[in-house]
Amino acid sequence: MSIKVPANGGSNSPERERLEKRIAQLCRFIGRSPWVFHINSGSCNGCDIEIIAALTPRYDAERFGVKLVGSPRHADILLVTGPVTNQSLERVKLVYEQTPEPKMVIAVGACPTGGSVFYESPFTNAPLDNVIPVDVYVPGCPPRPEAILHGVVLALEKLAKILKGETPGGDGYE
Amino acid sequence: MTKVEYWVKMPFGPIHPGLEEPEKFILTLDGERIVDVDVKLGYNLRGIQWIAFRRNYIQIMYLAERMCGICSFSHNHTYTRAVEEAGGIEVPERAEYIRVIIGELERIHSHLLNLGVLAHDIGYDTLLHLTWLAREKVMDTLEAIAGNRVNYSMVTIGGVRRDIDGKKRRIILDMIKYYREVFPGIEDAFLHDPTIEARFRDTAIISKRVAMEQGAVGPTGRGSGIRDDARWSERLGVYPDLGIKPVMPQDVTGERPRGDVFDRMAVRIGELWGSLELIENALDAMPDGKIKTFPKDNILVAKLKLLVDGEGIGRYEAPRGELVHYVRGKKGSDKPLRWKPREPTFPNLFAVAEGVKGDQVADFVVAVASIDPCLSCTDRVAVVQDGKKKILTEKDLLRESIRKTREINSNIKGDPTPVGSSCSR
Amino acid sequence: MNDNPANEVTGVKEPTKAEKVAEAIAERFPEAEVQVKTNRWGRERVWVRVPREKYRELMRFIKELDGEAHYSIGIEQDWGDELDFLSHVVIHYGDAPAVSLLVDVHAPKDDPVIPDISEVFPIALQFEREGMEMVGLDFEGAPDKRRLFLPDDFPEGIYPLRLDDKGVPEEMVHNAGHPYYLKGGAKK
Repeated sequence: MSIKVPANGGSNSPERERLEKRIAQLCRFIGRSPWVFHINSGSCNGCDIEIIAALTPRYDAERFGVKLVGSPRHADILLVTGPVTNQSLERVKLVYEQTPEPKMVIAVGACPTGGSVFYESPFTNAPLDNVIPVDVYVPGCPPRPEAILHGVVLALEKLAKILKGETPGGDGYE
Repeated sequence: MTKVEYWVKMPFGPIHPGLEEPEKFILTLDGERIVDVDVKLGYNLRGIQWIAFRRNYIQIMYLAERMCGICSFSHNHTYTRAVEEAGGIEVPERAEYIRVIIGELERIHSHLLNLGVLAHDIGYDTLLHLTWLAREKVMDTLEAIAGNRVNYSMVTIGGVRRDIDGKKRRIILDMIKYYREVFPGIEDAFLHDPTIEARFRDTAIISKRVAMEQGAVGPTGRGSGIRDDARWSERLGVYPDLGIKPVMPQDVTGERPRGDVFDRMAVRIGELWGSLELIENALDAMPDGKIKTFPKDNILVAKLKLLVDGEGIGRYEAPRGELVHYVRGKKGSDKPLRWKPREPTFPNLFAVAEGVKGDQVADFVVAVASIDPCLSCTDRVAVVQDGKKKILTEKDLLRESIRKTREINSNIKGDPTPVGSSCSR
Repeated sequence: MNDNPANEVTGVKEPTKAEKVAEAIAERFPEAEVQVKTNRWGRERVWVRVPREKYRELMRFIKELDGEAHYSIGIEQDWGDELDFLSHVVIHYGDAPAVSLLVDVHAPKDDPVIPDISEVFPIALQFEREGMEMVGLDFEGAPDKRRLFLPDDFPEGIYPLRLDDKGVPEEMVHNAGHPYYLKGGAKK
């Protein structure tokens, strides 16, 4: 069976190559590949499939070692999707506490950014920064895989700054 | 019954697959064997029906779309059908054909996604990456037509928003050509691979009786031998003209339906081919003409306020099964008084909870994935149960699942090397 | 899509499947209001409204009509002074246009009791559980009355989909800072 990556569709745009180079550079600077833990706090699955799409061969973030892990204790980056429903509120906080320092939180999609269409619901606690500190917002409903990769680059840049001591990191920064 | 003492309750979930119906299962185990399954829903409760009390007909279209990121077209489309029935609104014929095309494109992307997840759940990640690579083509096509990879917003009440012109038509034809080359490989890998057959055959059997009792729909119901397809039994839109027929497992595997994971998967593979054919037929038969009854949204709002008076039901076959929306409106009100959707996963979940009883706990992941409850089962935390904090990840169960595949793989005479070439990295 | 004959035009037309079902129900249950509605694209639906005493019996009769009847949705709603549970059942789906049957049963708000039908259609139990927590219906004899969707710490006595004062109060409404959201829900 031969499945080829379609050459058209701008999949090898210079923008994308620049992003990829930047991720590789940052990974080298930090000294390890970032591992990602994905929290679904009541998302509609749109962002979630785009996160997986970013990891599968077309976008292939895994070649930088960016990979989804099964436990927050192994993770450097938290990807949070969804409008933080009541039942997942405590869970999001718990996962945030379990993640080792230094950690980055990326809010993926319109829901954790501003509630999206669920902004007035009594069952959601929409902007994620009411619940845990957020480092990077990736807006979009859902964001494209490239946008998620770009969010990872921004998070890595911030992580690099924290490691260099330029930005105070950790719990008390906000 | 002294045996009761040895039974263990294990929480599995909660936000397991993260669509509008994430669930927590509480498994009662006797050793490795599943004795009882209890389903707890509501971890993704966003109060959509409550929000709908405050939105008008047009706004609810976008709300419906965001119930699920995978079947966003289906929800939007079915809601639209319900409003059209309540208001007696005609849809131009060209719009009906465009709806068919987008619906079938969505079905292809959803089924490929599910096939990949099924492979992933037995530790066959090569196939996951192959199917997801193939899936990118349909995502590109959808993006070219609708402008977004996931929430397409193609449907509006009384028509569709965007036309399919010559250029888009060429993109679709190109996609069909690509899939005609790729699908035989995927079909071969899934239907004839000994490892897959060993894991999926006779796993989580949902008998026809249970499927009927629990109202199983879609590939889950058809895999169990219920010959129903809402597109066909509803005589929906132009589907009868395009030669729609329910795809049964015997059409794909040649054996009578057994209701196991393999049959549900086989139905999906059959529907992939069916969708390609429907798209081709629809492109051929598509007449010229307008695509919307009401050209502007503000006219539509005013018209709906006058037209919608009474109740309407929309029924459509989403990739996961029969989807039903109910709308009740009143003359003079610009919003529906009641809107209720019912997602196909809802009955299917209870069906699979019945079906998995008696199986091993390692099969549970596969069983749940086989009804396609939506992808995000890749990694999940869980749960505080009985006051004890306990983190149970999907990975643990996945590890069990993969271990079982390996055990089987050494017994059977199958070749443990993956089918097909590697990803073209 | 136009091959469904335009019915009710002449009396000589062969009655469609839906009309036969409607007739059978009307004959067996004279107190039920049965009507066949046809929508713009010729799809017929049978709407049945029964008093709640006859509800369970009617469901059994539907199951007798077609042993493979498919219970597809139960809709709970608030009509102002009454609560309503509407079920959609698909029967005779062996050949193409299946009969789409809607069974409507009402209960007054001060006595919101409706018989449970989970012995006829087991999946109906899950819709009934949803009805119980969402609008406060009470299903007499339902084997499982736990909550299905709402969190366990959700306050008792509030039914989110009720339109009266038992619904979600204004102070529970959140606001994620949406500019178009003007009244209430001041909680940031």
